[in-house]
This record gives sequence, C-alpha cells and structure tokens, in this order.
Amino acid sequence: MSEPILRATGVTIGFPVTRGIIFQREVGRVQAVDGVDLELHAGETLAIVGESGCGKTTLARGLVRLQSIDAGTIEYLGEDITRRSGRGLTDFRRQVTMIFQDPIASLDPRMRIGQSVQEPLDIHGIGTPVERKRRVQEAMERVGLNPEHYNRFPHEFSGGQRQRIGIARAVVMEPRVIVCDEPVSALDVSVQAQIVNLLEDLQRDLGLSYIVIAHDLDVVRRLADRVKVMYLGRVVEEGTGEQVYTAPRHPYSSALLAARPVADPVRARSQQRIVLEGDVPSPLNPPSGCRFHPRCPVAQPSCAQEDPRLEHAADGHGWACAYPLEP
Amino acid sequence: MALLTVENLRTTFRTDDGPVGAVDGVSLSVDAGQVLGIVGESGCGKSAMSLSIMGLLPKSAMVEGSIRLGDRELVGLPGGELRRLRGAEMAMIFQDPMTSLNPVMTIGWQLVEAVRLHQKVSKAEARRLAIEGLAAVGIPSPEDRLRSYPLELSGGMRQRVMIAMALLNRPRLLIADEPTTALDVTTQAQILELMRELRREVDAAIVLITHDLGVVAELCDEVAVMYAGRVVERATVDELFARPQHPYTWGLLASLPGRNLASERLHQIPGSPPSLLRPPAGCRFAARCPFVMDVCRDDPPPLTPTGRGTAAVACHLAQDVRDREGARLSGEERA
Ligand SMILES: Nc1ncnc2c1ncn2[C@@H]1O[C@H](COP(=O)(O)OP(=O)(O)O)[C@@H](O)[C@H]1O
Ligand SMILES: Nc1ncnc2c1ncn2[C@@H]1O[C@H](COP(=O)(O)OP(=O)(O)O)[C@@H](O)[C@H]1O
Ligand code: SF4
Ligand SMILES: [Mg+2]
Ligand SMILES: [Mg+2]
Repeated sequence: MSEPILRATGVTIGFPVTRGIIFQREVGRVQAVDGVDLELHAGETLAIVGESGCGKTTLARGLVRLQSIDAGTIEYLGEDITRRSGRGLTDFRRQVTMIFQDPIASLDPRMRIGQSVQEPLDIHGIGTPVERKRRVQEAMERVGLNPEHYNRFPHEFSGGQRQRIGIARAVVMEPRVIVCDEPVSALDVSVQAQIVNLLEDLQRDLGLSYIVIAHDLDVVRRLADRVKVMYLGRVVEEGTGEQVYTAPRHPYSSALLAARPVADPVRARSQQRIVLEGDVPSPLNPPSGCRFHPRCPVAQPSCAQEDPRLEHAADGHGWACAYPLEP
Repeated sequence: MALLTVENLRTTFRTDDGPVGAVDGVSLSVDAGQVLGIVGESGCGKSAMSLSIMGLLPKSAMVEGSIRLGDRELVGLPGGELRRLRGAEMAMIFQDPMTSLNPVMTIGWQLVEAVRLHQKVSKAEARRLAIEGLAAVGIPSPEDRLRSYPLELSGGMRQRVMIAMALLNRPRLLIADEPTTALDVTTQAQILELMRELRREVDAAIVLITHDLGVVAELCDEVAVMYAGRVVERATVDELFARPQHPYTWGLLASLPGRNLASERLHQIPGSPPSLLRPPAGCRFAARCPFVMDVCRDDPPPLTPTGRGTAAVACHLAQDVRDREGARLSGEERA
C-alpha cells in the first residue's frame, strides 16, 4: 500500500488532575488517550467510535496539533510533525483542518458569515484580498450556501446551515485531510442526511481524506472505509466497516453494535438483546487487566490480570481480547 | 376508554415578533398500558405539547382546545389543582434530569419529599418507598444512594433517579420527553430496557417523545408523526413502518442510514421546516414535498382516516398513490 497521508504511532495524551484552590498540586493523571496507532490513506474515511469519554475528541485534537501529546509521533506525508512549530506548523494546519459538532460555538457572533468563512485565510495570510474573496465564494457554493448568505449573521441560520458554514471554513483552506468531530450529532435526521451526502460529495470532488468521529454507528457505517473502536483511551478493535460491523470479534464492539435501536418494529421485537451493564469506569483509575473486564459478558478470571494487546489477523482485522467472539 | 384525550390542542407563545403557533390543532389519545410515540424534528412542537398537558408552560403561552385525563378536563384548571395532579396522577421525565432534580439536596431528601407531597405517610414509610423506587429502576445499593447528591452520579444513573421520582406516586400518565437523546447508545439501551419493564409492570399510559424512529420502533404501540405544529400521520407502529402514508414520513424513513445501506446516496429531504411565526397557508410540508400539487399550497389537508385500523394521514395525495409509494419504500428496504 502507498505511504499514508497521516500516521500516528503510540499517541498518548494525559491531563493533570489537580487538587487545591490556591496552590494547585497534581494528584494524578487521566490517561485520555493511551498508545493509539493510526494510518489514514489518501481519499479514505477512517471512523473512530466509542462511548463518550473514551478519548475520541482528545485524540482528534492531538492529531491536528490542537492538543499537545505526551508520547508518540505524528507524521504527515512521511514527515514527523510532532514537535513542529512556527511556519512548519502553520503549513500543516492549512492541510489538515477540523470541523466540530457545533461550529457556531467557534464563530464570532458579530462577524458576518462571509467574513467567518474567510477568517482562516486571513489568519494564514493566504492569497490576495481578491483571491480570498473568490475562494470564500467558491467554498460557500460548494457546501450549498447561497451567495446571499454572505452578509448574514450566525444566529440567522438553522442547525444544518450552521454545519455547512463549519464545513465551508474547513474546505476554504483547500486541505487534504478534514477531521470531523461529531459533524451530524446535533442534527435532525432529515438534515443529517444532507450533511452526510455533502461530506461524500466533497470527498469525491476534492479527493479529501476524512477522520470521522461519530456516536451514530449507522452514520459511521455509511461514511467509513475503516473503523476503530475505542474504549477507555485504547483501540480495542479495528478493521474495515464490513469486518467490524458484520463480524465483530471484541465483545465491546459487539455490545455497542447490538445497542443500536433498530428502526423496524418486527425485528426490534424478535432481537436478542445483550444490554451492556453499568457505566464506563473512570479513566483516572482504569480497571486492571483488560479494561473492559468488569462489564464484559464473556470475561474469564484471567481477564482481570492480563491486559490483551491489539493483535491482527492476516486480513488486517485487529482486536484486543483474549477470548474473541467467533466471527 | 382512553386515559388521555387531547382534542384540537392549540398552544401559542406570545413573542416580540408575534404569536408562535407551536401546536396547531393536535388531537390524539392514549390508553392505559399503551405507549404512544410522538416523532418529529426539533421545533415541531413536541415539548410545547407535553408541557401543555402537564400545565408547565410559561405565562407567555396560551392553550386552547381540550386535554382530558380520564374524564377530567385539564385546560382551564386552576394552578393549585394542576399541581396536585402533577407528580400524583401524571408525571414527566426530561432529556436533562437536572430539570427535575435539585443539585443541592440529597436524592433521599428529594424522593421523600416527593412522596410526602402526595401521600399521607410517615417519613420512615416514605423512605422505604424511595428505596423501593430506586431499586425498581436498577440502581445498585439504593440505601446508600439516598445520601448522594445528583451530580455525584453518572448521566445514566441520574436519568434512572429521575424516572424513579416520576414513578413514586404511581402516576396514571407518564410523559417522557426525549429521555435518551443525550445518552450513549449503551446507556440508551439500558433506559429503553427499563422502560420496557415499566410498561409491563405499571399500568400507566406512556407518551414517549423522540426524534429517533429507532426508539419508536423499539418501544411504542402507536405513533403520531408531527410536522410544524401538526400531526401529519397517525398509525400503529407496525402499520407506520409497513405502510407509511405521508411524504414526510417517507422522507424520514428513507434518510435513515441504517435502513438504507444499499442506496448509492442517502435520501435527503431538501430545505428545512417552515417558521411557526408565519407558517405557510396550505400543507406545511409543501415546500419540501416531492409530490406537491397546486391544491397543497392553498388548502391545509385534514387528518383523515385511511380505513386501516386507527391510521390517519393529512395529505392531499390520493389513497392509491400513497399506498403505492409507501409499499415501494418499505419494499425497497427489504430487498
Ligand atoms: N481539558 C481536559 N482536562 C481534563 N480532562 C479532560 C480534558 N479533556 C478531556 N478530558 C478527559 O479525557 C477523557 C476523554 O475525553 P474526550 O476526548 O472528550 O472523550 P470523547 O470525545 O470520546 O467523549 C475524559 O475522561 C475526559 O474527562
Ligand atoms: N417559551 C417559548 N417562547 C416562544 N417560543 C417558543 C417557546 N418554547 C418553544 N417555542 C417555539 O415553539 C416551537 C415548538 O418548540 P418545541 O415544542 O420546543 O419543539 P420540539 O420539542 O418539537 O423541538 C418552536 O418554534 C419554538 O421556537
Ligand atoms: S398535501 Fe401535498 S404537499 Fe402536503 S404532503 Fe401531501 S402531497 Fe405533499
Ligand atoms: Mg467528544
Ligand atoms: Mg423538545
């Protein structure tokens, strides 16, 4: 296979846990992301799924260098950019951009939409004023925003239109990679479909690569070529969408998939349910052995001691479980 | 007999820009032991309707029409009487449990108060009921939890405490407004499982409000689809999924990624819902409807029985067209 666009190796990100009001002292560290490897190839979509708090956003922010990492490396087109700064970092950020669940939260409410879309170009000093204007118009058109919207303010837009603005801000940079953190989670189904289609169109027309984080597993199935399932900061299963969805080997992936409500009353009534009990444990104090063992429906005594490593089959499908499910 | 009967309900908010008709002539009913699902996208009036039933609207709202709980009319009932009914005869659970829970009081204190507000029992008896209530919703070591504060619990546990509180006085009507929307799928599955059990054990009528057709399919007996303040389609859950009748319902079903894996491109409903400040004259879906005809823009289609059970639809399309399109849609998915 060709050289990946983006490669992360052993990425580990922790946050200090502090006590005290005036003299804050560090009493521990939350390991939000713990040794994650990842490769993203040109034109593909890689999805990251898992319950809230498992480290998806932290990993994404680390990958685009919005969050410093404690250990590991990030390579862009074969070059190590983990510790780049200044000009080199700016260049990287032009090519790897990010969109968020609520793009409006990051917009200045007093700035007109056109200016907001242009802002990243201004920040990076890209093009002449005339060129910037042209690129903004192109980007807005591409994402289905009307040129008349140029002079409006963020609050005048509905959820779907807001997400289009967020996407326009990302594509105006003409990036190669977009990291999308929960891009459709706040949207109603009818609008969600518009944004899913838009992301697919942009990928095809602009040759983009995506990393998509989403908690809607059906949306992920639609968009992703490959999927990684995370639990408490670690990747517990990875493979093609087909591998992970139709033949999950890790009991956590299987339980996550089984928890999806089925939009078919006849199937919903007949479905066997294994409801995953309890909550995700605190990452401050992760369980011993396999981190999933306290909730695992097939755990054996040894699971409380031995921490399984992510192992791969010949077809690339990988799982971190000592007692994997039959395919 | 229906436990809850809503007839021609109109809920209007007075705002600086003019009146907002959040609920515009909605009629529906639910029997004891049944779950009625209300689906529709955000802003279509689902919460305004449930708050109208509970008598929890702000002063800026005006409610017209009829809401009957058993044979008692709720519209126009004095505030004091509504308060007595709330928490006793009818209860509501919300997307955000902190809507009903007080962050600075222990869970035990809140549950005991909720019991004693409506039942003449000793503190000890109220405490026993509170522990029983927490156990019934699957909270581990319920006695210890009485001493906890709401924010010490996880989101899913807080949701359970709120459900326990709503059920303490054995209400006859339970309204659940997006109870799982903010939760992870795993926690959602736990809460849905809990609601399924409750439905078997308490003989209450449940109104479940959601924007998720998957949740409807999992839990409801009957469904009302709302669009821009109105009910556009009503049917049993099996009928709705097997023979959907309204173009909006078709659009919703076709845009679900999980039901349409094989389609090259996900169906999308163009545009967005109309403003309820100045809603269009005829069918409110007309601007987004692929089947729109001239009559649709002028005359609002009335909710009319389809002839199959209790099903009804508000659409000017001829019945045979609706049957054909609806069948095609569910046929395609099965294929
Ligand atoms: N800025 C921060 N400071 C301290 N802890 C954080 C911070 N951001 C995230 N965390 C913790 O890191 C873990 C992973 O969080 P996050 O990456 O947001 O998860 P996800 O996006 O999967 O929901 C959580 O336990 C969260 O509480
Ligand atoms: N307190 C209020 N004042 C004015 N308008 C309101 C108020 N509450 C809701 N609305 C409006 O009423 C309509 C229906 O809202 P709501 O019932 O909350 O919808 P849903 O619950 O279906 O998302 C929306 O247009 C909303 O903006
Ligand atoms: S009444 Fe007309 S516009 Fe409305 S849903 Fe039916 S066909 Fe479409
Ligand atoms: Mg996140
Ligand atoms: Mg609502």
